Amino acid sequence: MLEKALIKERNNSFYGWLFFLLVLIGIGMGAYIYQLIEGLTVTGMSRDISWGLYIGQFTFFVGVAASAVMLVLPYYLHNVKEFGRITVVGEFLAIGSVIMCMLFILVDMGMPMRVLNMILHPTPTSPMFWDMVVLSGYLLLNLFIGWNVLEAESKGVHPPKWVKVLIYISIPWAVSIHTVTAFLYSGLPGRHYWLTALIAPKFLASAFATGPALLIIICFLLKKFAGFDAGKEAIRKLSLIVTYSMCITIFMVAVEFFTAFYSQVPGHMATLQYLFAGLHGHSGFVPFMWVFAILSVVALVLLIPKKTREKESTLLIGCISVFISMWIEKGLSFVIGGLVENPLGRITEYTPGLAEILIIVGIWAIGAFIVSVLYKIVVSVKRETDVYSANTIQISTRNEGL
Amino acid sequence: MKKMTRREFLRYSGLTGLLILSGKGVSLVGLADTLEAGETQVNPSNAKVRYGMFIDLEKCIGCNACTMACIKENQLPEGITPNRVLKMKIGEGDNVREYYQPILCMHCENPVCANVCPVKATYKREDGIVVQDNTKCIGCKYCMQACPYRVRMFNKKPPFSYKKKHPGGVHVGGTVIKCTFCKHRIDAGNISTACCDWCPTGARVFGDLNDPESKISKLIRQRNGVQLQKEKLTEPQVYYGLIGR
Repeated sequence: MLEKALIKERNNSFYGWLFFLLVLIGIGMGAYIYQLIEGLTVTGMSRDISWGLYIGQFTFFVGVAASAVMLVLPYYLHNVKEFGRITVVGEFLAIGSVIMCMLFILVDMGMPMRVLNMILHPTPTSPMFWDMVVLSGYLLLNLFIGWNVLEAESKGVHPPKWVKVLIYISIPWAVSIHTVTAFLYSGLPGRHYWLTALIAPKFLASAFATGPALLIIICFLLKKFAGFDAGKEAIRKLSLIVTYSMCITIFMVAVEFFTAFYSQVPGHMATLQYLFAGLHGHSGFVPFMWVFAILSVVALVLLIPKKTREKESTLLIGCISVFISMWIEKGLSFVIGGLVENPLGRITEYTPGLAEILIIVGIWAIGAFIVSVLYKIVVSVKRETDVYSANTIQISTRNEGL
Repeated sequence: MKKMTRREFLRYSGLTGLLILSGKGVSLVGLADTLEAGETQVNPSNAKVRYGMFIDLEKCIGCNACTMACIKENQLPEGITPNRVLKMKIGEGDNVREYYQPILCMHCENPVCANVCPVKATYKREDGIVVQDNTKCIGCKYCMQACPYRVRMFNKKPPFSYKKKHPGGVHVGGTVIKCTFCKHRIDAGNISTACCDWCPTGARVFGDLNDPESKISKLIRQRNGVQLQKEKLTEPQVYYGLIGR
């Protein structure tokens, strides 16, 4: 199977893309070596804001990884046949995202060479331990499932039975990875912005908006550059999922405002005030949050009416808006926003360091590289099977003619 | 010999991998040991006592002698102050009064930081002191998010090259540093912390909260000692005597 990645691609821009990603990965690696030599001083993290962009990106990509379930669940439980062609695309996206998540955790650690201590001293009381368990489990599940299903497809047989069992396990498992990630935050008594049971449902809803939106963008790119057509009906179903999940997410973001401002509890209001209007003269996040607000309105306006949702160009703009706005909400403002106000009511602002940004770009590039190579395999397999099925159709029509 | 198919090979190699992992990987343990020679053994602490501190805000003059004492005693890397003194205000307009509030690890009875630590590097000793083992800490900083008082500090020194031994243990770059109630002094039989010894006005008192006749217990009763953010229900063991006299 892996050899399919080496089949020569007709389109040379694919190799250009891989080379570009390799350059970015190299720059990121260089920045990370610099961080290892200098220590975390090269980041913008401080005593009060000790989790920054790294953990924000981690949280965001756990969502992208979990969203593969939005293809797997309809296809295997509700027999939505249209998704059959792209479930493996979703599963491979999950593989790339989970690897990115693990890398983001690793670069955030002050002592990365001791990471094995998580296994040597297992601590069931810590949500972070469970996060490691569910994330590595999810990675393995998707590797096994994606690989076996694709291999069976390339040989023209049904996948072995035990794969089906793994698929059923993977459905609640996908929900669990984002729930446990939410529990990292929502169980801490000292953080008002995080101390709400709404975090887990909000995470899941925004994940199911972001992931399928990204899948639609990917399907569009695959069609344009690799000649792989996901099928109109599949895209239509996916866009419906994006629309509903986006509405639920925005609803959950909005209800936070009522609780905070009607109750007038200072701790609940502080973060929202800081994020959207600025607090005590600090307003570093206000521009980003307005971009978030505008983009989410754009997304809803373009996605809710059937006409714009089914038109390719407006659907794409809608999906890009969903992706960027959710990235701001979850990857940027959620983690840092929860930390800006310290328990004594003082505000600390956060500006990421240059090395920090380069490392993040490097990890994005690693994710994109893994996913690109995996998709190359998918596209090669699908091309073969498409040719095969086209041949059989020809043969059968010829037989009918006789 | 029968030829091994690829599927069989994968199955057997997977099994071998599982065996290595389930044996808790002798090689893994060895690797961890070579990375960090074990330094702290859990001291057999006395389960009958429960150490705490009382800080009289009326007596604190904000001189930061405690901060300096802490830095000297624990040989802290620059920029790290597990004990610090905050300038606070109470009242409004003409009625305003300024005062100083030292803040340090509260050694909570229910320490959230110890619960969330994924590697058991932070734990509560039997005598109530919450300690940090920097030979285990992986620097994930989860405890810093969990702490309702933000008194945990991150040592941003480089992880490979920075290592400094001191009486209370070792400071390693890339790990978390916290107040230890000067546990090395207590284990040596000197029941007092550096900050309390150095305080020029006697605003800080260290002692056994379980003993009703100890100086600290009496002071907490006399001055109606309060705990910070008690509503968070972490049961801090540091009590404050409020201003007002």
